[in-house]
Amino acid sequence: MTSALAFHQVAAGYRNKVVLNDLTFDVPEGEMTAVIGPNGSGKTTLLRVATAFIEPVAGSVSVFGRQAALLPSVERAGLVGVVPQNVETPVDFTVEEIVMTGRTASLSRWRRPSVADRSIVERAMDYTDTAGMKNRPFAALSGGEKQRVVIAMVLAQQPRMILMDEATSHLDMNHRLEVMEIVERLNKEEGVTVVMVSHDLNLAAEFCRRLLLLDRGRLAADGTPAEVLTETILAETYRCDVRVQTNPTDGSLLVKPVRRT
Amino acid sequence: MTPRIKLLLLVCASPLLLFGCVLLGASGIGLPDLENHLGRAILTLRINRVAGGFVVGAALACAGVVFQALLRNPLAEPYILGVSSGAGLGATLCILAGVTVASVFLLPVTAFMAAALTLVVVFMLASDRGAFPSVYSLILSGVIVSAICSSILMFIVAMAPVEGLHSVIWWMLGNLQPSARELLVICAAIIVAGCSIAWLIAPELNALTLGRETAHNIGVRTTAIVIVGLGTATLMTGAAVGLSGLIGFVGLIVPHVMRNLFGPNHRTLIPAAALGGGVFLSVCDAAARTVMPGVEIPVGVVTALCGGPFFLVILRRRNRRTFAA
Amino acid sequence: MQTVGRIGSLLLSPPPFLYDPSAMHSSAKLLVALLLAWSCSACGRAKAPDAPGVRVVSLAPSLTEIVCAVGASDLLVGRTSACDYPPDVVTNVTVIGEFGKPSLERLLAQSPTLVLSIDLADETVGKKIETLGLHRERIRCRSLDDIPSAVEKVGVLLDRSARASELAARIKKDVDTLRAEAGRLESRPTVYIETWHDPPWTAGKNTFLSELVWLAGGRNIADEIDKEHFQASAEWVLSKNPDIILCLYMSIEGSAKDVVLNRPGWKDVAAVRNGKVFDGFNNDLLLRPGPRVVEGIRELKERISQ
Repeated sequence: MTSALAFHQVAAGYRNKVVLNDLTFDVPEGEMTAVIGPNGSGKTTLLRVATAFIEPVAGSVSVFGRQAALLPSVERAGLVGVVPQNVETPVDFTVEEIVMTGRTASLSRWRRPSVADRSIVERAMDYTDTAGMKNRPFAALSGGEKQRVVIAMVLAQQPRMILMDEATSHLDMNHRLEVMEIVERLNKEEGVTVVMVSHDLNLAAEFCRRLLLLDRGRLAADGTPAEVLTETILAETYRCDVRVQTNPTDGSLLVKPVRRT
Repeated sequence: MTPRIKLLLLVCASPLLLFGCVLLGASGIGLPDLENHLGRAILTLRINRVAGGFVVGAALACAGVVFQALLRNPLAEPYILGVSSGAGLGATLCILAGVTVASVFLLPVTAFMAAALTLVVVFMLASDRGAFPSVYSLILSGVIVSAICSSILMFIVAMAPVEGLHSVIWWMLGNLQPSARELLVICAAIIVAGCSIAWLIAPELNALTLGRETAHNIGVRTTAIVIVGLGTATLMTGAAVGLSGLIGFVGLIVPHVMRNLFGPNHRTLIPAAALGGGVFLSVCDAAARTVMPGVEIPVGVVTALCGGPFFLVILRRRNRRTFAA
Repeated sequence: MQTVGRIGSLLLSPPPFLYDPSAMHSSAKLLVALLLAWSCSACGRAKAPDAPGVRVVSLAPSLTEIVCAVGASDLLVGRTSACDYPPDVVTNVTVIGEFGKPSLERLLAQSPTLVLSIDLADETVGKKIETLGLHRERIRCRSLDDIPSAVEKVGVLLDRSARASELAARIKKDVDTLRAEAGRLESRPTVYIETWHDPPWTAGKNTFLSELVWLAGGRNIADEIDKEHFQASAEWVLSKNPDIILCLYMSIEGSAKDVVLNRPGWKDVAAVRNGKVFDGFNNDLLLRPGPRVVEGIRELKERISQ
């Protein structure tokens, strides 16, 4: 079983502040994993280290067996794609142009996008049901539509692993579901590894088979939703009382924080 | 009409327009009498001037496009990082030192090096403890360095002897007649190289408008591209300033109009801006020298007066493909 | 670019050494306010011109020359840094500022009873001087015909009428003689007057220089352009193909003539081909409408008729 993303005793952070401390885990290929944890626990930093946007100060990070920091950008793009929370551009690109941007790493510098490039873009837009709006300006779309376009852009990159950084946090429940279903399809049908950072514990529990709980830069828990989402672990990590209910009919979990007043 | 077809039209129309510019001049409309030496000298002057205008316009417009993409800011233009003030300061010191007569290359080279030096200083100021500077730091440093250079310049202007001052002011107002053909050729070479490099990194420029982190995740070597982009744009601007002094307006407005007409994809935008900027400046200069025969009006005045209203009309009519407000 | 905008007021004016003083610095406005308070105790209103203790300050080189030429150099207590003739006299006179930019403080320190300025001077400067309670006289001294009347007026103001009239009459007679000679000329060479080289500036119709060139026997190619001083287009000069080129400036390095000779494309101009590019003039004679103007015209005439 190849490892898609492996952290080994990684310490990383920003100028004065070390955020991740001795972080070790391994995500095998084909898995759909969620990274959860309170604010400031280092979830976004984890993603940035995985994409080599930040270099770790200690430890090693490997992506599909290769050192992340040593990967040439073009190859890395073919391995890892990122769906951020939102994508802003001050320039008035159309949907198709945005999705084509995903191909930047593979586009020929000298020629126009080839037929192969165009068909990849078409397929990515079909997959995310965005082909109908391909000539509309990106800036005029709603939040849900934009995220689907961004996913199409990442798909055009054709990565083997997709990282999602709170990609559905600002969407309404319908669009959230829409996006998650696309991602689940990608994981099940195409075998794309998915690592998603989320604040929504219930969503994570519903779609992901494995949860990594981060607390102050360290791995506090690692396992299935049932193993990780226990009242004791959550109360200690999030420093607030929770109730975890198991739905008797389908076995799904519901996490509810307990009010203090 | 797709952008590619429009670009083709522009490529075909440009030589015709440039030829038209050669027909206009202070001694009258139409080709001068080629039989005698003077007529030939006048024709050479005109050709050099139209070529100078084309090359400078192309440089400024192309640099403007690159700056707007890298800095993700619609108000970005070639002089935003202090290049104009730095080059102006360098040129002023050169003129006032009285060495311009020694070699016709001295003034342009000084202006060019001052422009490059200014970028280095701005970059160093903006880098906070070795981290790659963010867009805001760059713009802020550019404004600061620009202000400092301007102040020094004003101080010099206040203290300078009157004769040199005259030359300084008129240099700063811009003049498209190259002082030597070799200078024109060298600057043209730099500018053509610069525009070509900008065109080659067009896909990455597209990606960089989405932000550095997103571009990085798509697979763009952001640090390298930003340095190459800023460096190329600054060197092109430096060459343009060295050749012709400070000509404003072109680097800010032409990119916007071309983006409006040709779309934001830098693959077509960069050649369109280069051609459009070059033709625009040559045409304005041709108008400037024909309107009052014998008298030289600074070309910067004409670009703003003619270009302003014209571009306003274009931008208002087709509101769609501009910077998303 | 804001720098250019601020200096832009100099854009449309000829080089300052051709009678266009720049506007006052804002710091000087503060000075004026302070001096207003001080001046009340310092200076009184102007005394009658012929009272004893006449103290004259001249704000222009031509006026300084006129004052000395009518024999009133002993009354001169202030001059500009550009006033350099007659040399042995003016070294003893205090400099009160640059031409077009007099220092009000130094002006007042000389306690003048009369301040002479030419009427081309920036009126804001003149008005400020008057606000300080000083007696200022504007002397019109712009063209050739103004000179004799300017001399006479100065003579009246300084009580040297006799000598002034004599000088004025002499100048008028010389000019009339020159006019008559010039009127009799059958052919005139075309002349391109260059007053600065970088960028090339020339003097057009109705300027003092144009008049002088006409009297010296030439025809200014810029006469067809109804502007006083402007930047000349190289192409236009080439198309006019002047017979003579006059370089009326001091180049910082090397000779002014060489600058013109080496310009690309100019080698086929008649003046360059025939070696009729002249520099090394005593520019003060030609750029100052003053009592020595006839000398200047004669020097021009000599070169033009070579």
